[in-house]
Amino acid sequence: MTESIGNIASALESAKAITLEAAAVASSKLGESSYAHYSKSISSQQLRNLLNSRHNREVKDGMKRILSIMASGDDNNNSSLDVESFFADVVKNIGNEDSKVKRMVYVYLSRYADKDPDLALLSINAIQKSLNDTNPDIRALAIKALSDIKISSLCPILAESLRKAITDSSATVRSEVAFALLKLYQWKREEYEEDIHSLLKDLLSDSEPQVISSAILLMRECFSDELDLLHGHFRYYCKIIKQLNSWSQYYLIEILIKYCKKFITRPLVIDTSSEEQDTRETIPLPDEYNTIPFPMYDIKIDDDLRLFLKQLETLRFSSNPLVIFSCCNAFYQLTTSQYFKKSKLPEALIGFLTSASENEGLKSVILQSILMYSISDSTLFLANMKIFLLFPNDSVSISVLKLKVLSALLNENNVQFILKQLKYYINHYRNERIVLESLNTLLACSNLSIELESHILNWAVINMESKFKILTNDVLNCYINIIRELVQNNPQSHLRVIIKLADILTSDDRLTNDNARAGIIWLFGEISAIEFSVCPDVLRKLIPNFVDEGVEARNQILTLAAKLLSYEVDNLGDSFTLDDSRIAKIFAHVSYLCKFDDDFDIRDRARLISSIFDSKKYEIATLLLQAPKPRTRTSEISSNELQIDKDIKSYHQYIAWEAAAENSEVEAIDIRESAPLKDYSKYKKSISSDYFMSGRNNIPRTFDKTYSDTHRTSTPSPAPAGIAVRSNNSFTSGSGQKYKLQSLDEFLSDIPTTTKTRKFDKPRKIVRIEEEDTSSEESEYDTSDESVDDEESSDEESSSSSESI
Amino acid sequence: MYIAFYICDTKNQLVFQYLCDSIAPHFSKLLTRIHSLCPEVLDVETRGNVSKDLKIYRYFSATNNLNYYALTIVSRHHDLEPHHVLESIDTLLVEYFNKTNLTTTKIMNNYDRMTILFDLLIDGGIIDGNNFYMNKLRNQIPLKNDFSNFINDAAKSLQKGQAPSKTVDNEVVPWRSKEIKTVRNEIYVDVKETLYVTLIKSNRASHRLKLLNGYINGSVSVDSSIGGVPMLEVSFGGCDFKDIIPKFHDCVEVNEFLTNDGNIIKFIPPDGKFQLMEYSMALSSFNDNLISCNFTNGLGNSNDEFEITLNINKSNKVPKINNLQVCLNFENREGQSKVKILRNTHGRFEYGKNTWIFDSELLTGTLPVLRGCVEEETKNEEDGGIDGEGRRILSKLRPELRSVIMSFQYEGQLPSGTRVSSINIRNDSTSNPQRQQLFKGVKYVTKTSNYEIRG
Repeated sequence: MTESIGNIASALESAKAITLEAAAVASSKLGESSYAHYSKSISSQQLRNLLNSRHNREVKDGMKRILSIMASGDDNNNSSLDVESFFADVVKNIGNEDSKVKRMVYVYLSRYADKDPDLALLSINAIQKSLNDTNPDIRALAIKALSDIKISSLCPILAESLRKAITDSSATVRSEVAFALLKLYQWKREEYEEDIHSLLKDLLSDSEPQVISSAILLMRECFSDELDLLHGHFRYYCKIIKQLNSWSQYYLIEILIKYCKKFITRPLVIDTSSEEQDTRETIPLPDEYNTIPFPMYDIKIDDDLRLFLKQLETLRFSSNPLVIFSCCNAFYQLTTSQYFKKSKLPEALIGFLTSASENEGLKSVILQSILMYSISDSTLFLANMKIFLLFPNDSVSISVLKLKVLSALLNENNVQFILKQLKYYINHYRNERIVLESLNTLLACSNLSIELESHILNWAVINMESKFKILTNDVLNCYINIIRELVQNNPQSHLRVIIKLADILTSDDRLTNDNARAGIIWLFGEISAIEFSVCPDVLRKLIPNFVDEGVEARNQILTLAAKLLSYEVDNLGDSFTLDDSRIAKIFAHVSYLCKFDDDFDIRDRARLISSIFDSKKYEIATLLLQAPKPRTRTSEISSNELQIDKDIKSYHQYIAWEAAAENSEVEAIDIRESAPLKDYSKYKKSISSDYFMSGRNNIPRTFDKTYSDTHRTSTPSPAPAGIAVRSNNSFTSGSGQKYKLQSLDEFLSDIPTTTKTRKFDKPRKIVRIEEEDTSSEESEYDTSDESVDDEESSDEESSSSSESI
Repeated sequence: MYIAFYICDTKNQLVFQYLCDSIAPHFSKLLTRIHSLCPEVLDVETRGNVSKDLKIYRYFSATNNLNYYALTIVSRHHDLEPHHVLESIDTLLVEYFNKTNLTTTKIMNNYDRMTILFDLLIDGGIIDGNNFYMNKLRNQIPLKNDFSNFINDAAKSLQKGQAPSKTVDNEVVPWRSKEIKTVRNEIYVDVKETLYVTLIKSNRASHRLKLLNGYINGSVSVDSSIGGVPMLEVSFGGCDFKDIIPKFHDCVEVNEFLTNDGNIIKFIPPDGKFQLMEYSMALSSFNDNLISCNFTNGLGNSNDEFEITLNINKSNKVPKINNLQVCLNFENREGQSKVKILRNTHGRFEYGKNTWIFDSELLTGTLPVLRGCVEEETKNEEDGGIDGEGRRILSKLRPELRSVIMSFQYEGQLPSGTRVSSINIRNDSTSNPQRQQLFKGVKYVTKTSNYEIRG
């Protein structure tokens, strides 16, 4: 320690000489690093001494050391200290007053409690004591600690504490209760399911957005199918959705989509393309997205659904991609494509693609969902097509996905532009996967028109020819596949290309790739049905180099010869004789060569085919060799081939509408009648400072007013409003008088409920508590053993406020 | 459900681990499993399956040079959440420590803080979104006021760091505590725009560049240090946010934004640094009047020379350009060509990477030129040039300069023309006389991320 002090002193000295800022950097480094260094040097016995010390500072040092061993992963290797062996020494400090030490002990406990349950149980008493702390953060922490210690005998205590804590005045504590319930559910589901269910109901009807946020989490994890819990809250949640934290917004939207599908009547689509009112057709929203048969339509939506969707539209400015993602899903599931486009959510989704963040995983998920949407409706992202062009910095997987989106967005207007870009990528990009994917996209372009098809075919052949020395095998194969597919579609119109291919195959021996050669040879076999005349010559030229060909190519030469012979037999009909036919002679030569092949497959095939011809079973040969080949290209792009992650697909899986389109019963009884809210804020011992939150419920915040109110009060700060409550049962007023208090349990035995309208419509006023106010507080406490009538007490509150302001 | 979080350096050496559960594996054990089952997660992929029901996610933070891993139980949920969680944790840590980037030493020196932070953010293996606000975290674990802070803010009172966690439930809005007292009374707005542009020469002879596609990504970050609960209003000029959809921090009043023609933003700021908004604008035309670049091929006697000209105009707003680099891409045939520089007016040329690197600060109003030639390996000439045709093909394949990628950064103006025209506090300012002396500062930074010029 003395050394480090010395260091700091010398740092200070030099601070005078050099600039202040530099000194600051130097000293900050000195401070932290030297502490870390000191901390590292603590030996096992020293650590024990520190943990058992009476000085807070030393205990803190000890705990810090323990945590850093845990966090650095050193507790795993034997050379270092074994953290578990300090269990007793650590747990002793559970009652420490310093909240940081407390927190550190809790973290330690939650990790190691199940290793030594007996010792861990010793700490329970102290934790329970903290449950009644004045500081809500400590109470919340205690609940968290209690729920993190996985010892079976603790469950009843935990459940009991949670039941109490659910009426706590602090939203932080109540929201922690939701998390604790979640853990209890995951751990002891069978025993406590009912209890948790009933507590969830309370949490869901809380008035604080913070608590609702956590309650939604609990609901989603444990009771996601019990959507009827939401009946009374649907409208309220829709209204306050902006106030929830963004993670919960995402969960809530997910749940509400399901809710809408189940309980809200299906929207109706009205055909507006015809002028006359009477002939307009009305159908329920189709099950599949973007399959509405009318060119123009209107949609009739239930009011509650409209409210929900309207609120979602305002969320489009969210910076959390999860929120946008779920909003998009909501529109995808619940409305028509027109609505979706109008919501501007597609643009918001694209915003995450163009953001500066380098989160590749996230961008890839976003792209996949964009791809999915554009397959069902390409117009959604058409306006932003250029975003999906590649940049040199894009990673390979992102580039590939972008190309897939591009191919989904292709149409007559943009195809020329995209084609130009694709050619650039194919010629200049070095990554094979990108080039391959660009080639595939090129193929998709050719679907659009015959002119494009022949243009692309010509381009592919010329491009391949000029470069096949430097192309890798995979790329070359891909070229051949494209050429093959395009030629096969429409051989008559591509004769020039075919002749070009023959040149490539037979002239200088430049194309050496076995697979590519085999592919072209196969193609000639297929072409022979349409344009027989070129083929025998190709075959003739191939034979001299038969030995030098690869396995696949040799195989295909044999097949080509057999095919040609079969066509020859068919063409000449009865006049055919084996001895006169030149092709028969070529075939005989090829099969002779094959007999000596070192590949058994080729020898085998040669025997098979020649035996067919030898025995003059020409029909079999025709069937075998002239069978029409299916087109390998699929004209429709289905999402299956596009490698969209299955999780993303299942997330967007269509949920069926359950409520009938015209259900008069549902209309008659309003099941979504707002349920009363539970407001615990009046239990606060000091003046509630959450007036901003409640002000925010009316969307334009009543901010300025409340703000100026606070400043008009003469007390410097409203929080320490003359009242302090200690954890023992005595109550001291600001003036120093002591009162006996009931236990929290007795006091909170009744949960008051106020209706929503009252809470939010009445402008909240700030109570300025001065010394004399304690008398009114006092009386309130005195009467509290009779059940407190909430009407009365809130009147009292407002009257006292009107007095003081 | 999350089981564990790990932070590693670029070599995948463990820096920090947070295990949510007593059964969670140590990183060393996990690493051997990753190596055998899905090694690609360690460098290329962002997720992988470690076992039948365990998935690992990776996020690489480029600013901090750290790899973040999250181990989760496979669930019915999709991958977006873990990816986003890792990124948010990264930004949150940087904000918490109030640094521009996070070093491994910083993490190692603050293991206790880090552990408690993770403990707050993750509860029972689930993200506790209520705690993803800086004020809550700072409230629970106050940042140590170390020596540097004392020297920097000598005026700050000493008591502040000592008992902050005593305050009880005093938040105004989830992101701001009520009793913020400060003597600094300052607000700084930094607007940073990043360029993503692909320009193309409209034809070989002309020097006009045409925009192929491009967009600007902008972000506005604010560092506020104002006491009380101020309602700030920042208005922008020179651009229109009406037709684009910016991403706002939770604090922004969206309805106000929509009613105010989309260039006034109202918010109650969180204390300290935060990102107020991020936006991207698609460009329909692009004409940077500060820096322009062009290049020509086929110069010299044997047509194998190229020349790159940069034109950096004098500007009174932008005194200098930082970290200018021009990366040259040649037609990659068989990789047997060699670049030779003939003339270079500024900076230096790094041969291995084919990059023209300038000094870290380059004054505006200069006109750097680089001229060089591409040499073929002689061996190639002999092999390929046997007959006339072969030679023709070879000369056609002569590697020439195909595209250049520029990267630079400057302060002082933005390519989109966005300006902050005013920053004001909108609520009743009479009650607090200090408020009138609010110190405001604005900074504009332009950066390139993808700036390509194709020939």
